[in-house]
Amino acid sequence: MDVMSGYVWDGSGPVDPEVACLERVLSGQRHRGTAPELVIGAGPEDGFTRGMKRVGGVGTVGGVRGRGLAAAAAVLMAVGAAWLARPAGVPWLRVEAVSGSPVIGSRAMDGRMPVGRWLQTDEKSEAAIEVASLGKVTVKPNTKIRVMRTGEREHRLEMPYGSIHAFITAPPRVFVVDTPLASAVDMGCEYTLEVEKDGSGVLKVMLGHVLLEGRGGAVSEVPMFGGVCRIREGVGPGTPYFDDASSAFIAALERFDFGGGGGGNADLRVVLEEARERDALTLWHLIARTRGSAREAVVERLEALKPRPERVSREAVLRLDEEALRAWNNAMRPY
Amino acid sequence: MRVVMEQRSGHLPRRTEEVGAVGAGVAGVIGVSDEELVERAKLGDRAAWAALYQRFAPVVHGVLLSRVRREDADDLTQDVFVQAMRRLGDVRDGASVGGWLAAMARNAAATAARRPRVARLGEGDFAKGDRNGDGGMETAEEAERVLGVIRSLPEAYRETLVLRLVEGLTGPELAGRMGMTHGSLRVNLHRGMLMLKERLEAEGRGLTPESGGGG
Repeated sequence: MDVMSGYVWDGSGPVDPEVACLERVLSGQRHRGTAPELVIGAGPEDGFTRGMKRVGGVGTVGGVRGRGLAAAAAVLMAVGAAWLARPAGVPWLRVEAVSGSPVIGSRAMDGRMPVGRWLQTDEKSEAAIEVASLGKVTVKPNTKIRVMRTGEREHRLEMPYGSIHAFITAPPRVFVVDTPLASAVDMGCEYTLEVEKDGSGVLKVMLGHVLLEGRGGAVSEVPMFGGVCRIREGVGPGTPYFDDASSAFIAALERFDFGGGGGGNADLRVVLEEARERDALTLWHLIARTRGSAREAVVERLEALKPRPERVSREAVLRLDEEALRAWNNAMRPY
Repeated sequence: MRVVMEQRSGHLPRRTEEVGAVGAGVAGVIGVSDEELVERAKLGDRAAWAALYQRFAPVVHGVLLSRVRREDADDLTQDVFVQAMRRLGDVRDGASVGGWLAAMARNAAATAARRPRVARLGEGDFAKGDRNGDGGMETAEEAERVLGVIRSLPEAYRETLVLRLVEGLTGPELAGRMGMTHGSLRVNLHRGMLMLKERLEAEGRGLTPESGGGG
């Protein structure tokens, strides 16, 4: 090791093999985090707003009129301060242990789950995250999860693996859980989400509905009362179905989605034959996931189960016209 | 639709969401000075905040890693930035934000050292292959051994070595971000390297290219 080499100083010159070796061994320890969400007014005790530039504010005041303006300004500033210190602006969510000893990072929980920090449960522990005043997420055993963002417009969690039960009463799209292969976008509901370490998993919806958005752009809409959607590596979200569908239907759909056993027209045929009226959910999703004669067969079967509204033409459906598909979907509810 | 604030406006943004989202305005902060980034972050510019994080998180992490275990360094890095967010309004000289963050990191490490550790979950042993399969257990163990030797060195050398060898910052980058002169940094780096080499050899762990874990 030439400790005076340019390579040591700025990486220039010939590579020093010993230094390069150290770099290689140590590179896995390098920082790879993401920035905590910038929040104005990050808490009543903070100094973030204290030194913040107040440009375009009340200006210079003087005399009686000035004092009146100053008083008005003081009221405005007090209102502003209250707004800035509102609970929604705090970059953490309340969390408590339900059982066992979950940890946040390397520490025991202290009631707060700050943005960016991992909450981890082992096989004996569970935790409950309070998502502002919108609902609760129960973190099941053997789960790793963190808050990516928390604010008025969005509360976003990341779960590389594990399972949660979410009960959320928020406007659509305010609560999102990212997994390695898909994001579960809450549309106001109750659901469970399980994710394996390879990213595969399953979403089950009890109330409302959830959009499962794959990294490649595929979106599966999973409705309540037994809606299920599986996630697989290389595919993302599969086609949603109801858990009370026939086992032949579910098995064929799984093969069709994820290729096990060859997946293809034979499996699609089983799905169409086994489909009940309620399984229109699945068939509607399959329209965009098939082509040519297969798509025509799906549309034909779906028409038999849930007739198309008159204003929706078959041609528009076959060319995947978004408006036509949405209109048909709306008309076929409830499943 | 989110509006990216590319210039200082004449009023405080009414909602954080109205200011550039992370990523959306990053192109607008490339090459911007530390001082400018701090001022823009004070006004709620998320892109500026993200750029500050990108620029200084390795420094904060490196300073911490030279004092605490890797998993603690990860957590404390987040703590330091959350704290920095809250206290950003106190920063008078944006050009010295690197030194300010490094000082916060040293304080955070000192505080953590006084706090009793909780029992760790086996799964939470992030030092062993938690990150994108970037080396596996053997390399992680070897890295922890080398870091242990670095942590035994005098403080001035510890930070410099970790920032150079772990975080991958060059001497000039380090000088710029830490507000140090090239001369003093070069001395620390070279003396530290020499001392590290001696300690590794003394412990029979002299590194050869073959022992690099197959990187």
